[in-house]
Amino acid sequence: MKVSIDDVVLPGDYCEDIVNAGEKSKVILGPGLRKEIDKVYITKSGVLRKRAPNTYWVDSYQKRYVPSRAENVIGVVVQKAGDTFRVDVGGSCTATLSYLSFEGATKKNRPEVQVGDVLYAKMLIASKDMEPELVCVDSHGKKGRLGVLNDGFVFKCSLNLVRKVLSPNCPLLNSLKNEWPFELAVGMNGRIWIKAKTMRETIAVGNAILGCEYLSDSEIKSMCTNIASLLAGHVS
Amino acid sequence: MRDVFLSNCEKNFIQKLVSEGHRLDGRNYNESRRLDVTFGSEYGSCIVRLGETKVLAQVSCEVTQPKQIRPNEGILYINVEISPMAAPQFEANRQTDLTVYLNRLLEKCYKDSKCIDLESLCIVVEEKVWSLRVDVKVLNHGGNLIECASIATLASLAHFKRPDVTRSGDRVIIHTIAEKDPIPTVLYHYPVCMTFAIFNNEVLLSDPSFIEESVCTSSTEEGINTGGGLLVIGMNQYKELCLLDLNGAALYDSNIVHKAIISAAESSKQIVDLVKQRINSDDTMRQKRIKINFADMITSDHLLSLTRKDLSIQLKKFNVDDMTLKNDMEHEDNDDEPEPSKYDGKFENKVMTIFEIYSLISVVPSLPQTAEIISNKGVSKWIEISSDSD
Repeated sequence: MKVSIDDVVLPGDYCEDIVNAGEKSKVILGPGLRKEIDKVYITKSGVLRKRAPNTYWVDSYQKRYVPSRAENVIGVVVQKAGDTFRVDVGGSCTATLSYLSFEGATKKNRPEVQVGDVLYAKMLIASKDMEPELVCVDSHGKKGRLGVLNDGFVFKCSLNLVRKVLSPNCPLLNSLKNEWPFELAVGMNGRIWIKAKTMRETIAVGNAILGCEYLSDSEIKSMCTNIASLLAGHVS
Repeated sequence: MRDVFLSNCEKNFIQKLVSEGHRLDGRNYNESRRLDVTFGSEYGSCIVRLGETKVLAQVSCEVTQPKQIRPNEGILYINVEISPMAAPQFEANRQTDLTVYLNRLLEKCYKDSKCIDLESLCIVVEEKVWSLRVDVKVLNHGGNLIECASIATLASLAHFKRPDVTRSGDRVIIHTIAEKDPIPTVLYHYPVCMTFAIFNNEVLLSDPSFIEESVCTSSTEEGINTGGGLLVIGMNQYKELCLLDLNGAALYDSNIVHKAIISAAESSKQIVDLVKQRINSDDTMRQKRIKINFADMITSDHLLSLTRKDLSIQLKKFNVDDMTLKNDMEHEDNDDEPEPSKYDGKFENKVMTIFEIYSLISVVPSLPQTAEIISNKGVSKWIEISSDSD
């Protein structure tokens, strides 16, 4: 079926607007779109979106992670295999992480990583034919915010929610940060690590994040104050 | 099947949380998630939702030859399928340990407890009997598959109606639904399985979520079991025990089984009442020729169908709207009072022989009916306030 921008689309639909735009200038096809000979086909169900001037993508609901380069992810160390760690990031297969790709790690000085630890790492290689590879340092050899995450709690959520939380327009973190202190690491693979002073506060952060998935900006703000007053023990 | 790998921080967090008297989704120890039963357009098809866990069950029947040893009994066959749709760790078309375990539990609960009158399924002795097949398909795995699958099996069996049959001499005529009213399956009693997660050999959590299930059966880094396990109790509405199953660490305190059974006795009645009530209302709807199908489940509250009311991580008393909803549902559930079972002796003897080890359990019907499985650690001490904003 022929579709246009901002329509609800299904796999197999095609869009002529993109082809027409592509004749005049270059276009960028994002996730859920594929060029097949002279037509642009939809490969995911969702809503077809456009950002001026020339970027197109399908906004879809997804829980399963497909590794892609340069994304920050949260993984769990599943196995130590010689000089690499196997890390489960929720993709189709486990990712590898060399013990040398930590800050200050040498052959003599190995990083302290145990099986079952939670890591915040960057995707270095993600191709469809190879195992993904992670690193815990940036290009200057500094760890920055990457590395092992201690204590706290990890939970899974949909990829859309991750993008919503990370979006600079989302009021969630801005309104939460004034209420009580907490640490947070958001992986693009649909895992979020949270840590606060007490367990109840940790749960409150998780509650706020999961609760904001289908709420509008103003509703998020009122939910945050609601949770904060619940946490403080006042009747809101 | 790839195992779900639990990180240490998840394990520690949940263990500590439970030992302090709380649960991740803000429930009490003996609180279950929201249960919902929806029927499809056909007889014997239903979707049961227990929190985020969803199971589809479909009963179908065909005429077959009976087994040689039981020439006058019909056949009940239960088949469980778990596809990657349920959770990413499952593979398509492959039997996993979980599938086999679930299948065996359901067979124990529904075949071995003799809740179905198989003799009524006989058409011609030694020649033709009805064979009922229950296909259980897991749509989403959010923990406590056993309870959800067993409720789905029960609801679909109780809802199912087979075509009427008349015999004239050697000929057997199977009537279509239009010709003659179909016959419902005869159920002597309604058994349901209930799961309890045991933490540290002392805390009982009813209706565990996926993470609670996996934490309580996991071992610590040193490979030492944490004294946790999953206890499955099958019980019917007359508070008779039909099944007992434990996996995980061995129990050294028999009181915990006691506590679980008392709690199960209460909730089994509620569940069976809900199933019965849904079947009754479904029947009256069908008599009024109102079309029923699964689509009702999705479109009933339009725009809001995507919003989840129960979050997997939730503070106690987070959403007050939910609490009022739950109370409303409980008011509707005032069905008939429990009547003494007519099959008391018959079943207990059969069932008890299987579990002679648990000789304790025979005391159950005489126990007081207070369902308190909260351990000595006590109920959650979080401040309970009723916020009625929004």
